[in-house]
Amino acid sequence: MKFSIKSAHRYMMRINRRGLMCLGVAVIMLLAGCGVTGEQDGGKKILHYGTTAYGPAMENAGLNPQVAYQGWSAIRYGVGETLVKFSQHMEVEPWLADTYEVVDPHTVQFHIREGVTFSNGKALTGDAVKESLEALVAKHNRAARDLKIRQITAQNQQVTIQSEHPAAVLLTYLADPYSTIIDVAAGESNRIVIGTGPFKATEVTDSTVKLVRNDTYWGGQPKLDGVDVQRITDGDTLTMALQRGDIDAAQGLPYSSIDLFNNNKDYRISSVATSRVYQMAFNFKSPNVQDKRVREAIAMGINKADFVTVLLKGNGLVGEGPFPNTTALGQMQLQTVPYDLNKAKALLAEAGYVDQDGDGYVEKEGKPLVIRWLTYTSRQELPLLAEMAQSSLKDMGIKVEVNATDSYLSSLKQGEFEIFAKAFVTAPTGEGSYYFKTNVLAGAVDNVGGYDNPKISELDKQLDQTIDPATRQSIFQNMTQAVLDDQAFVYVAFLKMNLVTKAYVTHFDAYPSDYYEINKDIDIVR
Amino acid sequence: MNSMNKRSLIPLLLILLAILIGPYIWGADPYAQDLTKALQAPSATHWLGTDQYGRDVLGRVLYGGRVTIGTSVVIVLLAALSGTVFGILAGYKGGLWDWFVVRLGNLFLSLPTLVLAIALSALLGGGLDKVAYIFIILYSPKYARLARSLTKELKTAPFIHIAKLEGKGTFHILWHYIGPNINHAIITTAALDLGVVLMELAGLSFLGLGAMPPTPEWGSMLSAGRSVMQMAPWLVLGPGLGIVLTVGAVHIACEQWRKGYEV
Repeated sequence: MKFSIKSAHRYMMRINRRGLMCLGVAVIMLLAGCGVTGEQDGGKKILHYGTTAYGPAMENAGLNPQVAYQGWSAIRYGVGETLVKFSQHMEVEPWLADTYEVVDPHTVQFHIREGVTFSNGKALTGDAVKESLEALVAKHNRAARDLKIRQITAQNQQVTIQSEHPAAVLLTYLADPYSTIIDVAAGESNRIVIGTGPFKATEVTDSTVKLVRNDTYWGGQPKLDGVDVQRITDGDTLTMALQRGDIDAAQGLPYSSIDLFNNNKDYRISSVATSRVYQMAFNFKSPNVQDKRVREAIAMGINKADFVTVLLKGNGLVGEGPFPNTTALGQMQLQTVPYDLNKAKALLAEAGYVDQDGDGYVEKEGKPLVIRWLTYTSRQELPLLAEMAQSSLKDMGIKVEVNATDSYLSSLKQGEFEIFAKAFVTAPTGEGSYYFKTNVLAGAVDNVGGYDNPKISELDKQLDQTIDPATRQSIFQNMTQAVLDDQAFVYVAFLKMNLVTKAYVTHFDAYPSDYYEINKDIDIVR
Repeated sequence: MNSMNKRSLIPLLLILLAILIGPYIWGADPYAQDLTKALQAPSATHWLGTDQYGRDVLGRVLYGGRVTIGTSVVIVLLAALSGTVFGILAGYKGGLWDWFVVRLGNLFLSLPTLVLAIALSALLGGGLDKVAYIFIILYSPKYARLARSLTKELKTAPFIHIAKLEGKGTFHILWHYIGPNINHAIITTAALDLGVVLMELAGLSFLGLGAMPPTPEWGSMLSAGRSVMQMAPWLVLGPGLGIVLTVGAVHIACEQWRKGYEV
């Protein structure tokens, strides 16, 4: 092959021209593929719903409540229902059961609502409920550990459940999405199960859930013909999808985008305070943060007030413990560490960390203090928290390496972190033990840092034997204070949940418990 | 190089001057956060406004230019150097070495560079250093192929035969006769690649695979500014202009240089 600069240049120009043509074709195809919602739906009322809260990263990609966190999707998207649910005031109220009675301190008897059918037409009976719950505790470790069911008996429409828990606690766990009642005999096919909700699934993937109306729904005919749930983890894409009309409703918009929809007659914003906390968990297996003084210094280096005011744009509440003080559960007198960089530096020095080589970072025995900060991006404010902390901890002499990735699970499993920052709903049921049992107790499923305090385990045992609400609240406070005294977790802020819809979408509102989203009353009124 | 060629270097020189001297003149610390000044619009104090953390955007754009352009230059230089060495040896020596370089080159050139770079970065965990290594590896076969082809052509030239007859060694011939005769083609290709590498590097940082926070880099700055783009467009204006102007300036300079050389 003859080669000259001229021929090389001509070749590159040809490639450029070809590249430009390809880009042009791609843009045209992309534009042709986009359209305003409704126009593609053949006159049917299909709600196009974009959410950041669905997908493999959340372990809820699917609708089988007996697998991981898929129950959240089953309930959220109107496919399944539980025996009892939470009211607007976070109190347990009947749902599939029309009445219930506390028979003794550990036993509840439910009467299953007459006339309820699964979406395949099969009647919901006491036996079907028993079968569903028994299959749940056989397959789902977290559910089995939470519910602690001793016995279930069924007769006609009556179901009696006895648990090791006090009845009040059992009821809250029966409202958890994993307790969604499904037709066990129908099984699971392509992550689709048969529930009793106003919608039934036709297609489920890692990124979408397609639903059609359940015409035999016991609560009356749903107003929508169908719902198309799309996972859009990028907050900006979600924002623009709503602005463009590709979706009719969006959950999980970044706080920086909310201002775009405020005071705009084309949109409706529904906001509600939640117990979703941004928390930092320390990895107790890492030698870098095994010294409590180091953890305390780091906790002192987090400016929670500025995070809420500036980076969350006021859409949150400064955190102290795991529960927001806007709830009864959060009414605790806690001793926490203040934001104080000077005290933090003094603590580090006391722990033996000083800048020996003058590079601005502290060392101990020649080894620098490096904190690997692991987080993910689907909650857009988590990387902001990481970068804010990176700056203030640098002022203290701590080097922070941020790893903000949605494939964080492998790093988590391999323990490649000193701090894992995440968003977590601490009291979805308004009951405190859920948080401690999932995040704090030794061996708990989400206790990724390996934190273990025997005192907390002992308090948890006391809790299981305690029925009196005031005594339980006192135990929660003691457990929380123990966590704070150990500096095992830092509770940065509680988030406000915003649901933004087009103005023509009605009855789609944010709920204090974010289990409930799609319902039979949602309508599109143009 | 004629006077027109020299004038064509002015935009690039101005950009280089800005990123090299600018940070000292402007004086703003690109890392210093001040949340009380978050998202301020451009003003006399902050010509390009401030970002979510109250950091001066102009200061970050100037420092970011050093990172983006500096890393791109290093990538292209090392890719061109390593590729050329392998290519010359393959072209001159032939045999198994030649076979190996050609096959390896074909393998890399048959794969889309950017897609492969994204995949490898994701696999290796990202970071500016890893991305730089990946680009050097992915770009060097192009230079190996070019150098090999030119060397094979020159290898049979009369002056090489004469040099051999005079008893000159292989290294001497490669250094004094082959190298000087192929360097223009290599330099032209490298200059053309600089803009492409700069764009791809910024692209990977935009995706979160390149520069890590808080390092100011144009691609990562664009990415960070994207979330508030509609309310604070100045966050993407600075790094965006930086990329566009630099790629344009590089293209103008190397195009004129190439024309001047061909004339």
